[in-house]
Amino acid sequence: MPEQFQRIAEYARHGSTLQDAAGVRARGTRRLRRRRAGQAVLGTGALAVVTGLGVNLATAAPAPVHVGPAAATTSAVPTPTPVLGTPGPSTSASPVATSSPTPAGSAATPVLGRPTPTPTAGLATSSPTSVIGTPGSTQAATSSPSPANSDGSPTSVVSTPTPAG
Amino acid sequence: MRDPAEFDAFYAASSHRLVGQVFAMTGDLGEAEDALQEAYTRAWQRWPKLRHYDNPEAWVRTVAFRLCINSWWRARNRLTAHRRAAAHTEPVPELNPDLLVLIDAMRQLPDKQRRALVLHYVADLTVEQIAAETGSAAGTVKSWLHRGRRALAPLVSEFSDEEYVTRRDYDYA
Repeated sequence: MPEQFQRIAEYARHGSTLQDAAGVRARGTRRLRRRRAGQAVLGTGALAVVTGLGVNLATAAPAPVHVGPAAATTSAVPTPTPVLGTPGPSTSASPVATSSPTPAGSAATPVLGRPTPTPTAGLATSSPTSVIGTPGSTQAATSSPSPANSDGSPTSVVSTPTPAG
Repeated sequence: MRDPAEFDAFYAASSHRLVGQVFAMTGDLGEAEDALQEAYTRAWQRWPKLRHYDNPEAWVRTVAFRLCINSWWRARNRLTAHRRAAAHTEPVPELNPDLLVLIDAMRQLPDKQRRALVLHYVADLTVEQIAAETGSAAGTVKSWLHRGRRALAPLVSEFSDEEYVTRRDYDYA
């Protein structure tokens, strides 16, 4: 070892005031204890969060199912209560009108689990009438009887221009 | 299981040796003491695993060296160093001016060269041992040593002797 390096090391050995081993151990033990306490707190918190999430997911109400436009159905349920599959036979007889005509737009209650065939399924019943055509052909287009829907809603008519005369 | 007596014996046997090496690395005695005590604290935390190592002293030295070049840790410990300096009542022997110049020159060197010089000339490790401890190739360590010696040659009488340098290089080739 070169003499200068030796003197540097000796200087440090004689001049250093290192903590004793017990102090170093005490510091390390305190750190370990703090770390374990922190890990315990974190573990408990994580467990609480997971449990809370699980309970939330288990008890959460299912999202409402959209069946279709109820105004177009012939069978409509007038009560606003959604029917969610009662397990036993229902004793409370809720009035279900199957034959009487229902005014359009009054039955907005979604009927869950009972898809009914609708005669006007797929028709745009609520869109306003739009008549596109030339001025000469407008009269013929609007005067001619258009195929009416079963619920009497206006029907969109697109007419092709006809040559005058 | 942590055996305090075993750790105390290890501390007593190695701490004074290591403080000289870390001081040669840093050039600041307070910083060297702080880094070494932090390294020993971490060693105690891992003592059940560390006690089975072939050379726990190398682990402590590596941690202390890394702490010394960690700027964040140094900045954090600056306040602690001030408190320690204020509480330091024992007089510290003066360091010779030529050694102060050498320490200053060492601090100008890159960390790797400085570390290799300290391990080789203060800790008295061979090139292969330095390579194992630093995780580098032996040729790389030789290169670090050669460059470090060249930089310190005006200050260290042995390094200015070209024959000495060549002999040390070929001893471990």
